[in-house]
Amino acid sequence: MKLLSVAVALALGALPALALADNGRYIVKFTEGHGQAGAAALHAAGANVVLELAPQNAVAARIPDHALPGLQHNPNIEYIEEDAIREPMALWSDRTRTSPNANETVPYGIQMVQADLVTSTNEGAKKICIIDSGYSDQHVDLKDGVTHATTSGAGTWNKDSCGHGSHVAGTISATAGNNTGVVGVIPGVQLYIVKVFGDDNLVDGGNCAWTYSSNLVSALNLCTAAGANITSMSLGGSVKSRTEDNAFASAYKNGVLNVAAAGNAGNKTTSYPAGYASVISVAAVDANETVASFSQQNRDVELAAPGVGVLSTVPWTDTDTLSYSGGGASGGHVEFSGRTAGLSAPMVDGAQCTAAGAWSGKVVLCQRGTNSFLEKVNNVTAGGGLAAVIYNNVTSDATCGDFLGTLGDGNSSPTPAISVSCDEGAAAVAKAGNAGTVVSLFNANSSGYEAWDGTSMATPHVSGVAALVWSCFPTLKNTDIRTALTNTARNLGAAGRDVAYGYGVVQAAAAVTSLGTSSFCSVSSSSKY
Amino acid sequence: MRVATFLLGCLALSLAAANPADDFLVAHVCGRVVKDVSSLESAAAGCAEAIDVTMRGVLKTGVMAIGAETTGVTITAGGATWELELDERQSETAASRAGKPVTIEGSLRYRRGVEVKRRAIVKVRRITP
Repeated sequence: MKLLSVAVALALGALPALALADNGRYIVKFTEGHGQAGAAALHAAGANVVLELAPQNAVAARIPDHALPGLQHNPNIEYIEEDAIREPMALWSDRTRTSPNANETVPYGIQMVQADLVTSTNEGAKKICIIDSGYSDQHVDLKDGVTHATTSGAGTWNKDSCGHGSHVAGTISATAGNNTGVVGVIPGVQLYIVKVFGDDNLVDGGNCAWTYSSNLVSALNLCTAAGANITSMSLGGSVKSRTEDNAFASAYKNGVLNVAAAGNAGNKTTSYPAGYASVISVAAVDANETVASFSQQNRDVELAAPGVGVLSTVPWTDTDTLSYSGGGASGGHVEFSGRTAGLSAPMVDGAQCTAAGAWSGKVVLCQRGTNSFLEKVNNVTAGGGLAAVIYNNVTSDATCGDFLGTLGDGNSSPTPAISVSCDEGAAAVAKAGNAGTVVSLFNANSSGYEAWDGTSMATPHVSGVAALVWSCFPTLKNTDIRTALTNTARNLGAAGRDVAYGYGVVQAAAAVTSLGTSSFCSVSSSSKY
Repeated sequence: MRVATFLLGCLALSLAAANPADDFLVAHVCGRVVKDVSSLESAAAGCAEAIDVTMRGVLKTGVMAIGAETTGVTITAGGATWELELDERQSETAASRAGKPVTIEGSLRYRRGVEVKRRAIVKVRRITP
């Protein structure tokens, strides 16, 4: 929201200051009995009425900035106020586990799929084969003792170069009750890891590259040979393969339940293996249970699960902080900027850092907006600044929190830059002149947690729920579990199955209940966490 | 909670092992001719125009990626691997040339994926053995 300009404020005289709405949209309340005259005044001022609120004797209208002062003085108008944007509140959010493990987070997805309502004494009954980029067995929240294999050329199973496989594994089975990190859908499940992506090189922004259809078939063979009951595949490609189709059909016929990501292209195309009849295709929804914009929509989509902002385990920590006497901020690394283990210097208010200032040897506080992050950081460097702290200014964000900043592909800067929230930025600006210490440090091979987006993140929710439900009825067939999951999914979108959500969001408790009484499981109406 | 979209390394720089002697890359970037991938990366960052490329290398089909973020067909040329966007007829040609060298002419663009940080995709105009 822009602040009213000085000129307009003066013109308003004694009237209360009205902030200019970002979208130029206001609610105009007419003086009683003067609605018509008020509407005529709006029209004459070039306003565009977008909604009539007859019971309130008011309208919503888009009003040019310059017309506001005059309209506020018009006797036919009682008041004008900003037509504030109302955004949906998240239905689900991460929450801290209740005692005795108060430092452990229950990701919203665990609750959305009802994994917290089912207690199984038989969690280790089934084995999930994760075909991905590997598994970080040094992570404190990922268990030891998993079995594993690696396909040709993919490196070492426990070196997860991009963290993708470890993030997926955390959603499935992050340890519960260790008073740290997160909990998974079914912590006690057996895992079998097959690495098909990655080069073992765990660095900041490490890559996962590609694999081939033949490698996937090979991975599937390894899974089935290891006795896996479920394959979890947060991967895919656009080209259908007869060999692959036959391999998955055969595995399915032999009792394996296959689960794969619908894909992130945001269109109606089909990805494979998700598109094969023997594979459950999983769409992604956000914390409002709305399908993610990137989630592919097609007739193969069978189930939906949380896939936006999913908090889980990664094999690194990324620490980005500003500290100073009496305060501090914790934010994110501005991609492609420099790193520092700790750099202390006087802080200076650089406003929006639209031009280089006299910032030699300073930590420069830059407000977001007007110019690019690259320009801000380059200006800080040109002005002699040692580090840039870019703070948010987007007040329409619910939290105005820290944000994902980047210098842009192909660009880089040796100057460290971190992003922090509006409040943290304002607090730091108030302390300008004092010493501030910036840390921006990437630590490989450590235990971190990040929230990621993707149908890749939705897939392990379904794999985990399938294993949880199956653990309650271990003698059932894969087809029985698949039917239970689809029959009890919480329907979203169009009634019945649709291309966006399939049958809906997978529901562990409902599926268990639908299958009758289990000697291994209990279902509760309240969270076990 | 800090929400971080999953970022991965540049796929174009990976899987560069297959590099037959006759492979090459020629790119026209805002009036500049570039013949190696590292120069292309930096030149492309400052160029808003379409990047015309000609490259020769080994074609691969049936490609898989995390989150299914791939066109499914790649060429390894000039020390990097590039995704290829093909029409139906070109796809048939590609299927018959899988694992063999081809020459590609087309337009290169870099795109950020949801889970893949950066994708280098060539929209193919012409594909020849």
